[in-house]
Amino acid sequence: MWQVVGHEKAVGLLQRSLKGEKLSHAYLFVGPRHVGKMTLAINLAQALNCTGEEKPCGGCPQCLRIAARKHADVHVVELDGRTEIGIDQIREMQHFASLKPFEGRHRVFIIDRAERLSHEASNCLLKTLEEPPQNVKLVLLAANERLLLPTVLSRCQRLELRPLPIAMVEEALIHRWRVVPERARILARLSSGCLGWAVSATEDEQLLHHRNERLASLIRLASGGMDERFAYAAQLANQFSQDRESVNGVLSLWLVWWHDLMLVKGGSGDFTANVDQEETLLSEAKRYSLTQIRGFMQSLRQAMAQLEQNANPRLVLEVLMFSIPKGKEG
Amino acid sequence: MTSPVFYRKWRPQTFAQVVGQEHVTRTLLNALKAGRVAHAYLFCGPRGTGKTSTGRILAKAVNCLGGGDGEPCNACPLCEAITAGHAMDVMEIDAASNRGIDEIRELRERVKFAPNMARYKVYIIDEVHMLTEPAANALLKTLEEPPPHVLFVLATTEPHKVPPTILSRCQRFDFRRISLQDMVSRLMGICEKEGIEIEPTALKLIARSATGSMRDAENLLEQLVAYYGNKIELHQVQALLGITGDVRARELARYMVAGDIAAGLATINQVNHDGLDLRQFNRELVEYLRGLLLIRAGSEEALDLDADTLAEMRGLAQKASMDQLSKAVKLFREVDVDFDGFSPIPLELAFVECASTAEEAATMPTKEEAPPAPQAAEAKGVEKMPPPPPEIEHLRSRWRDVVEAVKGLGSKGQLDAYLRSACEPLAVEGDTLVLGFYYAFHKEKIEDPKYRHMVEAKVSEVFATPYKIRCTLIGPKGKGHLVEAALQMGARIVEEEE
Repeated sequence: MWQVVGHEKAVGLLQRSLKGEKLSHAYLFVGPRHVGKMTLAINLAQALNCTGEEKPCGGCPQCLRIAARKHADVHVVELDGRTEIGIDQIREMQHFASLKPFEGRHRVFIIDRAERLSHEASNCLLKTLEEPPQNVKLVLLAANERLLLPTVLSRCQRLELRPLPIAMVEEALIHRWRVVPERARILARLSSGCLGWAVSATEDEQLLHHRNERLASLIRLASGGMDERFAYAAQLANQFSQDRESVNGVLSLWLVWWHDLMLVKGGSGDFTANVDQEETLLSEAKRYSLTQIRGFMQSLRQAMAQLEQNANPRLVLEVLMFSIPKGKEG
Repeated sequence: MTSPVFYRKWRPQTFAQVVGQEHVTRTLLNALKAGRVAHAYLFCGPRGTGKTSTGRILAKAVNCLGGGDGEPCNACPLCEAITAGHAMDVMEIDAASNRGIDEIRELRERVKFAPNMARYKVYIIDEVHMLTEPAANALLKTLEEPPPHVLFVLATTEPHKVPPTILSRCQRFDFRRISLQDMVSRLMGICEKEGIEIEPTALKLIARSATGSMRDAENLLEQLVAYYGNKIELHQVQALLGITGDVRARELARYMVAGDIAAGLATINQVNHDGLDLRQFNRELVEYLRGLLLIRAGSEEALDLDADTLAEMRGLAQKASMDQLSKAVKLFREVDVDFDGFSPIPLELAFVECASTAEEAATMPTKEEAPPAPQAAEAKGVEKMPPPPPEIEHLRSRWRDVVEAVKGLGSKGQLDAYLRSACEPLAVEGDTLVLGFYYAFHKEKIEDPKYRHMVEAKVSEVFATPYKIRCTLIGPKGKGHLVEAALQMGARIVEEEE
């Protein structure tokens, strides 16, 4: 049983390759965060080492140990709180790759967030990626393949994991994670097709709560004065130096919100993500012109890109505050 | 799982099998035949063009016991050992993993020893651009004058990163991207041997999307085989590559020209929902828009289209302006660079921008037609008699003409500069025009009778009405957006500096 939800195309391909003994030695799974890349990679590792009948069975000791991330032959190379994956980590991986499998049949190396491989590390990886030792499989996971070296890309079989249809996320939440339908509907829409996010939201009550808080502050800021905005920018900038991800989260939330405004304004409100805030969306959309909304979305995207490039967070955020459009009153 | 992937299984084993690099292989073959093999080669070129493969073939060719005409025989024990990768005298070094000076020192130590079995010790140093600077320098002496039994083959995708001192010690060969025909015929050969049935057009599509890299093409082919089995059709290749072949790109272009934002946004979201590759969709859209642009510009011959499509596009192109089309092509082309994953937002933003200009253009004419008429009347009136009260507005609107007229006069011919950016017309008092200056210096200059007369003459000339000039000081212009924002936040102006 493959645990991953959806992605029939990718699963089908892997299954066929497994059956025909034509599995490639290197795969690249491309897809947005939380879409199920890691789950699929773990499933693949299970299928390779499973001793059961229907691979991966999910019940045999091998499968269980891999699922618990305790298997000696399945390694995950990840960021570990650093900003990039360094050459040392790859060298260590290469050392393990040269050893025979310890308890399973295949050594599987999963490189999470491969776009964060440093330049040296990616180059170091090339030879192993092209011709690894026998019984070694590599799986690279990346959200943005553009950041990978072309030489890395061309050595892997690329599988695209696209965001799941919203209905599928909703159904999976209801049936597999036993979420109340009303809540599942909201989470599914908000997840924009990334099941992993929705699942973590079901486990973490705080997540939705935070979101509502952030949305409220966003709406307040849009109609508020400059001093309020600047105070918020300063607060965000402080937060950024400690925890980049959460600030990125705030900004993407804003982007989704303004995107919804654009959709409502443009007259295709069926596709909005914030389904629980329909009324606010409608009233807010009336306050802005389409050009204003578009302009601010561009500023938002620009700000996010600049933060990614290590611009001074405070300046970037303050400039962003300036460009919040002036809405009509009422 | 034991069968290796295509790009390893079908790695070329003789010079003849290396596709599309005749300029390299012929030179090498001639050198081998004449017994004039250099001691260091550098192979550069994009990924998947055969650098490492050629290096290995060269290692076999210099050591082969078969004694062919330069080509390795692939049958003698040495050739076999090298192909299998366990020949002791052919060392393949990954310079990206062993990039430090220590590794190179070790290599220098070992280079001295005579080969074990083969004639030459061959060092294939791959990804050589990743060597650290000290390591590269440590290699220089060995690379220039190695022992007679040593042959170096360096390979890299980024020759510009290799130090020039290394470049100048090697014979450099540039590998080219593989042409479409070469790639198709090579893929055809693999398909035959693997027993894969595939249409030539499908192969062409694979080759095109591989952009000149054989490894990419073989990878794609393998993926297709893994997914669809041994019988592959064109539409399956299209599906794998995410090519939509879809009418919706045209629809979107139509909505854009019509300025129908709602329908356009719905189309984009629908395309995204259906799981199509947005990047590919965008590419098709750009291609279509380019077609429209060419038709609008009157060069239809450049397009290879059937009559029906052409007629349809012509109709659409007539409705759009040249500006709008060129702007659209530009914006949507930028979208491609901008894509950060799977969000339709960049595409939507570009669409809204293009479509709203269309909307503006559609409503513009009515707006534009209204103002010009009264203005023209005003302009005519001016010539006959002094204009009625909103005179100052008129003066302001044509102030630029005055500035132009003054150009080249007085004060080293720079009088116009004083009028252009240092003052503005404030009011008209009878036959006197009041000019407000930001700084005293400029005011005094213009108040100088010599210059004042000049300006008065020119103003009167431009407006066909006699005017006198009076200057006042109004203080620095504006406060700048930063000061304004600060004021808004409750700041006070304590002191001003000029």
